[in-house]
Amino acid sequence: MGPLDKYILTENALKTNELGFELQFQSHWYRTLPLSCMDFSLKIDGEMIDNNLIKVVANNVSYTYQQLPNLDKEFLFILDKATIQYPKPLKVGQSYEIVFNLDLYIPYILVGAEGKPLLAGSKVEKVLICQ
Amino acid sequence: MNNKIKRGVSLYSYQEEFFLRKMNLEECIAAAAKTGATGIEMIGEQSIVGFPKLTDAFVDQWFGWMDKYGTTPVCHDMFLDTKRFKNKIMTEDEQVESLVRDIKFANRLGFKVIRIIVSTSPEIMERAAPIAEEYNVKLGIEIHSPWHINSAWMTRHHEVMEKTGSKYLGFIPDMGMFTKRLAKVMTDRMIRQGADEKIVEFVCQQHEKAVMAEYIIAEVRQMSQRPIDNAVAELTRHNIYNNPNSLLPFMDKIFHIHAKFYDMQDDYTEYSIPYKEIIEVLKKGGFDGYLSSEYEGNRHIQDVFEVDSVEQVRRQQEMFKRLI
Repeated sequence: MGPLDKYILTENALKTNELGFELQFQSHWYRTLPLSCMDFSLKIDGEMIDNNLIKVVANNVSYTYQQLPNLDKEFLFILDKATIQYPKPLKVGQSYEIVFNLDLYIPYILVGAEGKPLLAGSKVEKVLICQ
Repeated sequence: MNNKIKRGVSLYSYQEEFFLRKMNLEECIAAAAKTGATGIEMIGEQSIVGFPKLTDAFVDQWFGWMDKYGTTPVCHDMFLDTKRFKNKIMTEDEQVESLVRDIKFANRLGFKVIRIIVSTSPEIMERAAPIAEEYNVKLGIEIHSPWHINSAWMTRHHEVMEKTGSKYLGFIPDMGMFTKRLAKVMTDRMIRQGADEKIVEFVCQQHEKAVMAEYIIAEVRQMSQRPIDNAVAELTRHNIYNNPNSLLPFMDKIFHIHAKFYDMQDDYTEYSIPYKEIIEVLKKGGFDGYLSSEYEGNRHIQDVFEVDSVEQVRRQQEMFKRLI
């Protein structure tokens, strides 16, 4: 979307433990949006992460990726982060190339003849050291 | 001297500092109050964790802040999230339900007006009017550029206001509809993104001459195939100018005003929106609501400058003090 994209993933966003890794992200749209209006894809060192295997934790509640489109009442506050969990551990202290696409479907701005929600997409490419 | 116009600040103005955690909600209210503004406008989804739920503790704290800083809750800005699901749009009943949720939210925090997002239909307004009256919260449809007060959509809204006779239905004009000159912060950003400076100059000149947007867009399409150059031309479609006197026949239905601005200069003038002319019209019409600062220049300069919303709002409020 713009210059604030750099805040979507902070330097300590990537963490790991014996069960798998976690990536924390934040939206920078000026108002809170429900999870049903968010979508994302993640690549680590060139490998696409399978969204069917991830969990998304928001407001201390864990959801599967498939649940997201129905979560119209679960809002991610603009100062809060959500966490993606994936069952593959990484190595602490190692650098990883992250490509994270965060797509926001703005539910009150409808565009085109079909009235589709405006897509506000951000692509973040960062090298993060796993914590 | 006309002292009926009151001054307010939308906390939306401080979004950059809020997002970067340089200011919390209380500090935003304090900054607004420091300018001498007394009215507070807020987007619930932006400022309040857990929106639309409100805890008793938060409500107490909110009114505590209002007392502490000598401010009054004036306007809550609502949204109608009609497309929360990819393959389903809200029904009319669901839209009314969503608006009622916002009416109750506004009432609990002491807001007497809700800014209704421009896409809300007159039919929804009509259905919500009795509930707005019950909760003593007025519903003002936002008139946001490229709409203006005589747009067909606003005429339909006006018809519903007349038909129902409800004192709880009215307008909230956004001063972006009086963009006499395109905001330089916008065109400078587009130049940084690669727009042709000569095309930018051409578009700005044409807009100032009040050439119709469609003609400018068509002309630029002949000059360049590059999306960024055509996006500059598109600015003229979304940043319209019409005569501020157009507000006069509707003044009794104007509940509140969004004093949009992009770039307050050192000399306390706004680069693109002629506030001196606008405030003369508001005085002439006897407007007695709040002129509420809405800073939106941040997104056009944040790639190269540190945003200082506090100073920008201070300058606009100083301008209002001098003009009102």
